[in-house]
Amino acid sequence: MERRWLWLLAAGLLVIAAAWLVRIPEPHAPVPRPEVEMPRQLRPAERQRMLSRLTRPPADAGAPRTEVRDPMLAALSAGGAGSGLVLEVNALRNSPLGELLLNCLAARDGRGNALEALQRMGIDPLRDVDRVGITEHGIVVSGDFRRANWEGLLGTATGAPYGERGQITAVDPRTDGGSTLVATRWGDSLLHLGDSEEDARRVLDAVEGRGAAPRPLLSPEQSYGELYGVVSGPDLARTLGGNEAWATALVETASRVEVHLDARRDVALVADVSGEDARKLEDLGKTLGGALALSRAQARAGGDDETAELLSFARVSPAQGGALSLEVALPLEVVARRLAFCRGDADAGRR
Amino acid sequence: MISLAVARDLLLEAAARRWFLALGLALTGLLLLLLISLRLEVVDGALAATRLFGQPLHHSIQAADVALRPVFLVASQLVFWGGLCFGVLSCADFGPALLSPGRIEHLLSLPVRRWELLAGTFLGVLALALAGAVYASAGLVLVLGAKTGVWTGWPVVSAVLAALAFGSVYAGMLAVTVWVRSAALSAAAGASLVVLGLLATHRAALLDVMGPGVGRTFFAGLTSVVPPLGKLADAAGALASSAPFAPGGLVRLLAGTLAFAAALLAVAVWRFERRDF
Repeated sequence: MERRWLWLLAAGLLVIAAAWLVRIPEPHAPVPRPEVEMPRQLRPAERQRMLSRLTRPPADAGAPRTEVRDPMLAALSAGGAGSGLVLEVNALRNSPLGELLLNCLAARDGRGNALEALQRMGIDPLRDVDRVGITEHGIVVSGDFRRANWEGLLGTATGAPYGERGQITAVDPRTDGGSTLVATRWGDSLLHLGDSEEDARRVLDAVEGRGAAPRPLLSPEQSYGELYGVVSGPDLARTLGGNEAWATALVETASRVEVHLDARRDVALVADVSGEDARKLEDLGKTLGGALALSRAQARAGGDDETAELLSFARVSPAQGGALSLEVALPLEVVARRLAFCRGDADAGRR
Repeated sequence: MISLAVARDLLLEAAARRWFLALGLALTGLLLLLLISLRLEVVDGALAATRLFGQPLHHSIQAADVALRPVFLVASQLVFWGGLCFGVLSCADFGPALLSPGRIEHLLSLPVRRWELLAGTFLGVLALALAGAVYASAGLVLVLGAKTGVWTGWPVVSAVLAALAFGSVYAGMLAVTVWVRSAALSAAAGASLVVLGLLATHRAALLDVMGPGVGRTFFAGLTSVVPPLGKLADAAGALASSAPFAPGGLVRLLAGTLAFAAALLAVAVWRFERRDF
């Protein structure tokens, strides 16, 4: 070999040595953003589930109504609620995420007490509860409550009858304070917990199809994912908090946010934000995208790799049909790592 | 030995240049200014109070060496980054001057190998950088030591780090000069290496905000070999201000910086060996 080529060889070796020596220790390899199918519509199994839940309401003052309805969604729409979320407890229970959450509950001292108390009353939340919905007018629980010990739960086995299958029970406040709880049962499949008898009657009217049908909060076609619902702009601003200017801007821009979460394996969350002003929505999308990028960079610069990793799983998609979409895809491994503290692992979440 | 002779010639040449005369005068003037104008009565007062009353009057007063840490930190950063910028501008012409028509033919007619010429030029510039950095930092140590009684050699060690960092930049400037004999291009190469060194310092954060693709791969490859000058500057600052740092990491960083400089010099020699004059 000609001598001068030895210089080039030496240069190559020295460059490799330099690269190895000055190598900046990288944090643990980032988990790639999983290619998760985002919940965008009813999947075949969910369509079957949705169809099996539709029931025909009883006759209304001699004029039978022909439409079918999902009692849970009808109950949530009662009272003209602007926001409501539904958790598919049964579906979530049978998902890997549900297993992790249950392990978490089981491992935490004292957390099982509430579950055990309900089981003693004849309701096994892990088996008998199908869905839990929440609106500003109360909580709606659907499932199979035939074995429920209503006397133990509500203080009386029967309540004041209302409509075809409804019973309304007012539960007195506890000695340590609180307001009166109004429990509304619809047969053995639906339970509404609210704070007024007026709400209770509205729920039963909506479920049994009496009077004018309330504006639906969620249609059966929107009941996909393990968690779904809609949140109004004002409710979102209240939930997120922040200063007055931010809340006002959010309310003016986002009139409604529709949320769907798929937890069959990896966790995929879609939040579609809709509003009247397309330009403001576009600005909101850019603001969110910029905030995500900045937060990720700040977290990385500050050495908070966990937060940076989580933020890297979120993205804002451009507006589609006058709405913008926030998508979050969390690999199951990352979720499991976050919940590792339940196993008493001292290093939980640090890896 | 021949390389050292070449380095000595370069130093003599530098001494004749106004750039370095101006630098020497400016540094001396700055040190004299510090010597006559630095108000350190707080330290003097505390020492006097301790002598008089057995304890300082103000219990919250800091130890003089602790109070001086920020001064040494700032001085080390000035020497590091100021030295890099000044070095890139003032040394850009040494390589082209070496290769200037007439002079290079004369040098090659002497019993000296080509690689010795380049190595000598590099060592000469490195010695120049070392002399400037050590003169500035040692002068500051002497001034502050005389004023406060705090004597520390770490700012001088920190200045040596700055000079070695400049060595890696100058190796790139020399390599570019062997291809194109241009002082402007040499300075541009030096400035680019300083910028790349800064980017390499924040490599992980920058890669994090880059989307996958050719650009990211290119950036990752390029910044994986360039010494992270910002980390070296931080280490120099930590040394000067007696802040905690990992010595093992510094040794490795320094070895990588020297390996990078040697690689660029080897490339320069490879090209120089074949070039006709």
